[in-house]
Amino acid sequence: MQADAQLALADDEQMAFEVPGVLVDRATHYCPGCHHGIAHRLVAEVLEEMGVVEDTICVASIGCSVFIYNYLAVDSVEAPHGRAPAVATGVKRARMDKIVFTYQGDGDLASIGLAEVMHAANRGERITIVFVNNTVYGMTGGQMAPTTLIGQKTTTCPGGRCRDREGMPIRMAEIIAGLGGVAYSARASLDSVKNIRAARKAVRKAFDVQQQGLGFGFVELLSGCPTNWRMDAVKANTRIREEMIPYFPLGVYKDVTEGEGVC
Amino acid sequence: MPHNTPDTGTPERIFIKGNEAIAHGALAAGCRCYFGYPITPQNDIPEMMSFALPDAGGEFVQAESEVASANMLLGAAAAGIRALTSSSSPGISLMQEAISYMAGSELPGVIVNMNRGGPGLGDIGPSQGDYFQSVKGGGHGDYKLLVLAPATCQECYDMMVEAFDLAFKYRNPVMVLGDAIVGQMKEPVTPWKPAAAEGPGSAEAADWRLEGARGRKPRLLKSLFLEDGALAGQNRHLQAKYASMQAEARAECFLTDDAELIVVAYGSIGRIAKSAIRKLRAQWRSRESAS
Repeated sequence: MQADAQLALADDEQMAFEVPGVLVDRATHYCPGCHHGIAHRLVAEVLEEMGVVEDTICVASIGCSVFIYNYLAVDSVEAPHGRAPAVATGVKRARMDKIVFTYQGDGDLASIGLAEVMHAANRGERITIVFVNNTVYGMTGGQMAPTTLIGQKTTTCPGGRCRDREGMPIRMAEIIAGLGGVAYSARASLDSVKNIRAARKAVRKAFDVQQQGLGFGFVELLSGCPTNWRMDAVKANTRIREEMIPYFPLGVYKDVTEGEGVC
Repeated sequence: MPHNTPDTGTPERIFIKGNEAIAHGALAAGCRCYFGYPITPQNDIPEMMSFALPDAGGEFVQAESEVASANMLLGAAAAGIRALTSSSSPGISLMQEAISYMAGSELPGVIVNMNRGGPGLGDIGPSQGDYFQSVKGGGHGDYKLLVLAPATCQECYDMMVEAFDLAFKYRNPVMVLGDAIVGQMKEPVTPWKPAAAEGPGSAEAADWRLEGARGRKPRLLKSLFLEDGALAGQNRHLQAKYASMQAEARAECFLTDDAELIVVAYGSIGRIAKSAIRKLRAQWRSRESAS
């Protein structure tokens, strides 16, 4: 009872959001300051808002993100590294009446899984992809990712990523927007309340276009990985604003509901 | 009706290639999804499925690679659908990752391998060089497939029906292993319709397939077992299943009762071995009668 009293809102406090019921109430394995928890919540809120929780199949990828199935109470299947868009294609073609989405990190989607995501997008598979871009391989200990910024130090580019040696960071939302079957492609950020609100709208739209049968829905979420960036959570948010967003501009790169047609 | 139009319900003999018989058999077995990538000598299979499956209410996808084909198969299997992919040796090598995941996640699916020569790019002629990657697992980890090896076009048809039944019976990938001879030769085939052709919504996958957690707890199909002792437990479970699959082992015995030497072979080579044995027996009889 005493704990309940302590947890109760004070007069000058108000509840910012209710925890979605589809989110499992359990201890997190994600590091302090990690944005996966926020990304999970946005997906959970959108699925509940759309009323499709019981018709949704999640395709988990490889990396920290694989454990989404521990936090989201929906039917799930685990895909090999990078192959989630192909697995989702199989699930969706088998059950066209279901909502199917993948949840992938930058190593999984933009490196080993580049062929699968681009062709699923180009075919216009009626699936949604939530792409979490934190510019490093998180689970394996902070190696260089295809989205690692120029000059960013990782365990496999200890002197900082060099354009001449490792190439430029890949901008996925723009690449996906250029492919034929894409109904929606956008980039949002999880660094601030304002950007999280915008991200929620983008996630919703990426699921809406699937539900409406318009085509492939893609949303990239710029996220922090304080552990592998070797900085605290506040500095990580600052880094997203000062270093990531200038290179990975936020915005909607394709939206067929705004007039641009899809075949 | 043209010869190459699948009609799984007509009990007439049709003159078709082994590859076509594979497609006919898959359709008769209730296959509703096909995923594949072009490679010789099995292209008749995707070509036939591309026009036959949509008519059968199914989905055909030409994937961007064999890697993707096999992972699409994994996805359709997770939804509890009877699904198929086909390829030939180099393509099967690319599929081994997904096949390992399917075995680890206990997902049923059928993979046709029309074996061609290797290693490397090899050639496009018949070979049995994929024997080990077919029967010993092929990908990473300890797992096994059930492998059926047709020697005739009729067996191509029959074994496709059996392959789907076995895949769902054991929740395990099943491979149908032919070669360039079996796939490309033409023979009369009698199509037949299985009594209980399974399809979407069927009972065979009702207790594990993914379809959205409506009125029940969410289901999870995975091959990751990190908890202390969990993977060892999963592997013991899988090994017990593979041991039970031994009950499906079968062989055709041909003139073995009085044999001093027995030739063991499968598929097209098994058929050639039978011809050789017939000839050798005839030679032996003529020598016996002459002496």
